[in-house]
Amino acid sequence: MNAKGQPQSFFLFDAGACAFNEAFTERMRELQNEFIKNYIPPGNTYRLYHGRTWSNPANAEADAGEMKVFSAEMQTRFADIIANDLGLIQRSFKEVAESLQRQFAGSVYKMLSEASDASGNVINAQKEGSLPNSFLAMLEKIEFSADKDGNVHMPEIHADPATARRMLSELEASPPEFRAKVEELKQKKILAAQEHEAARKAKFARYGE
Amino acid sequence: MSGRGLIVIGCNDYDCMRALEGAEADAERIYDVLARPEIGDYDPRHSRLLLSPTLNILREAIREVLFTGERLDTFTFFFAGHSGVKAGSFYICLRDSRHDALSASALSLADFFLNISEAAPTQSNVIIDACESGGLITDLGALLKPSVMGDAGTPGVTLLATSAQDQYSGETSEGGLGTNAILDCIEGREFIQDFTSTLDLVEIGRHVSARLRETGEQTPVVWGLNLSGPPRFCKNPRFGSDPAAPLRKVIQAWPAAIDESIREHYDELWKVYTSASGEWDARAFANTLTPILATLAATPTALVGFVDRLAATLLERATLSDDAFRPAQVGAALLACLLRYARQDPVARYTITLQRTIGEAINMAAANLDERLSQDRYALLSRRGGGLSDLFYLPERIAKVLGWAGFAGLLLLTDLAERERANQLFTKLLCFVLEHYNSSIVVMSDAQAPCWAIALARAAEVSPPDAGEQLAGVLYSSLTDCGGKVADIDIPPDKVLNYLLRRHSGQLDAEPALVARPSLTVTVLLRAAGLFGLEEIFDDDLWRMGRGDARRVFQR
Repeated sequence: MNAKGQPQSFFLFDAGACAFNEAFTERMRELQNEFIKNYIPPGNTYRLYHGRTWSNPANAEADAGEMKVFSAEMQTRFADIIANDLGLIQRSFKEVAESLQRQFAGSVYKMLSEASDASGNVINAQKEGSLPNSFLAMLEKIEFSADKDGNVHMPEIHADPATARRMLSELEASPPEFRAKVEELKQKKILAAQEHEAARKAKFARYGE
Repeated sequence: MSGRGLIVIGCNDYDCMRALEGAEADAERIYDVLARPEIGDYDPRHSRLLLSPTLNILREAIREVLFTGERLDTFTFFFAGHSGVKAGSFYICLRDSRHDALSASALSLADFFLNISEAAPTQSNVIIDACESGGLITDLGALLKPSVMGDAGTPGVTLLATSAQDQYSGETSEGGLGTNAILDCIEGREFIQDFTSTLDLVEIGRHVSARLRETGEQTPVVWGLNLSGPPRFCKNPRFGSDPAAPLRKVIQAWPAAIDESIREHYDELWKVYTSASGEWDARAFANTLTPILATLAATPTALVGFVDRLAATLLERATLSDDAFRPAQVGAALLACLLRYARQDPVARYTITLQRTIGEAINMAAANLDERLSQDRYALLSRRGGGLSDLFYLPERIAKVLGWAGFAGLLLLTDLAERERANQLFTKLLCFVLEHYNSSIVVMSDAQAPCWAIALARAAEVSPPDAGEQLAGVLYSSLTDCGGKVADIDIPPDKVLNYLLRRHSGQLDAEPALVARPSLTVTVLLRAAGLFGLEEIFDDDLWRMGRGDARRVFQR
């Protein structure tokens, strides 16, 4: 028994285990950041230095951000450790990463869905009658954005693989008139985005000097 | 500065607490013995025997002994009576003390330490034989630091408490169990050692601890670092010199250089002391001790005396570690520091004693492990923070267990029964590991190499032939599986994950800095093949290893 009356250990590697666990966590963090980049550009990532929420007292309509905790549990069986199965490390990374990523993606779509519902930016695919029509209706509702150089970035479509494949094939098979309509709408949106960015820049008296 | 001061208190009578029967008698016996010139040689002018005193009487005695006249060289304080712990502070209870007002009516250990710190005797010995005296441990973490004790004159303090925090000090018709054990050591009825002329309280404390623990009734606490000057608690009645020589004469021969060196390294010595039960680093330990021991190189007897005191202190401290093998590791590090002086006769003789102590400590830890494994076959896994890191550290731990368990038989040169026990424990652990941890018998890093060397050599000598052969075969198989690319002996812990990932994916060539080149492990295993007649079998797979390693082994 040790001084605390607990069973003793036999050769301690506490510092080594601690460093190993930190390296493992760091590796997980890198994997997670890589994954998050697929959804949010790193430049748009906010960090909290204290507290758990953001608020914008000057703009009552602005959404308040709140920290959400994603957690994953990793179970390692004693027998696997004793078997010295080194593949366990990669499997553990995969298990934890997939769980965290599933939660993160679910949270992103949930948040987008709630924001769309709140703003009325929702279309009904059945009501639109076809996937190409739904696509067009979706485009109508979206506002494009331009960066400070006037480059407009096209919106992304996130869909489950089966729906995405169907949408692509139906869009490719759509008649030329439909495509022209899409192109016309796209140009209109691009122009609007550029004008919006120009108006924004005009608010700064000495922009770019 | 040459005074030896003594305050001895026995408190039978209490105004507000249960009366005791033997405390005063214990105090009288201790005082009588320590005041004798041929044993304790405490100066009667600086010594007080207090029987059932009030708090004020004790304070007055402390004032007179510690702060009147010359600064004391040695101060010893003995208390038998009630004690108590309140709000994390330890109190000595006197005649007028009250349980409900300890802070106002009893002597707090913290205050007493401030007295010692201010008076700064070179060495202080505090013995408390009281109910709950182990409770002083709650105070010690804060008190026994140079920052609190101050470094003026490098005061050293040793404490011996003879019952644990939640225990009552036992009494027999001959007196308190703790006091009896202490007196047996002081008066020579119990053998401590015979190679130094004086004894330190830590040495006595360790002996008393072992004796009282055997009874199962008390768990004493020995605490502190007391290295300045020669041991000076009392004379060693088992030492061969003139038994009637006064203690002061005996200790005058102590070289002054050691005290200067200790003063210079005081903080490091405290770190070494705490590392014995905390985060252990054998290299840092040796680096601290080497310059201190060098100052004693010309006086081997003093060197042995100093190391022995240090060993007594550190080995006792190491028993508080969470690691059952820590006392053995601390002892071995100390022994390694002495090796350069081993040509000198007193040192050579002492190393044999220390070897035996280490061997016994290994046996104790190995027996502990054997028992734990019989209850829980996963006992070799890390108890905290292990998990995936044990993919690397469990094989390292297994190597250490087998290496150290095997080593015990080499250390126990004269005690045949203990050596036989060591060999049996080693074989038992080896067979258990082969049966239950076979897949974790893996060569991971070159840090394992010395352990494998000892384990394989010992297995060839004392274990059934198939056990050693199996161990060598499993290790060699693991070596060839990784292409001989074991981790470097100094692989940084934060790179271990990377090493394991690359080892698993066969990409270690991309990280050559992580791999040992040349590998000690390859050398050890190829040399071990001959012990078990496995040379030809090993040759068949030699091509799997890096060319450099195979070549280096055979180029002589």
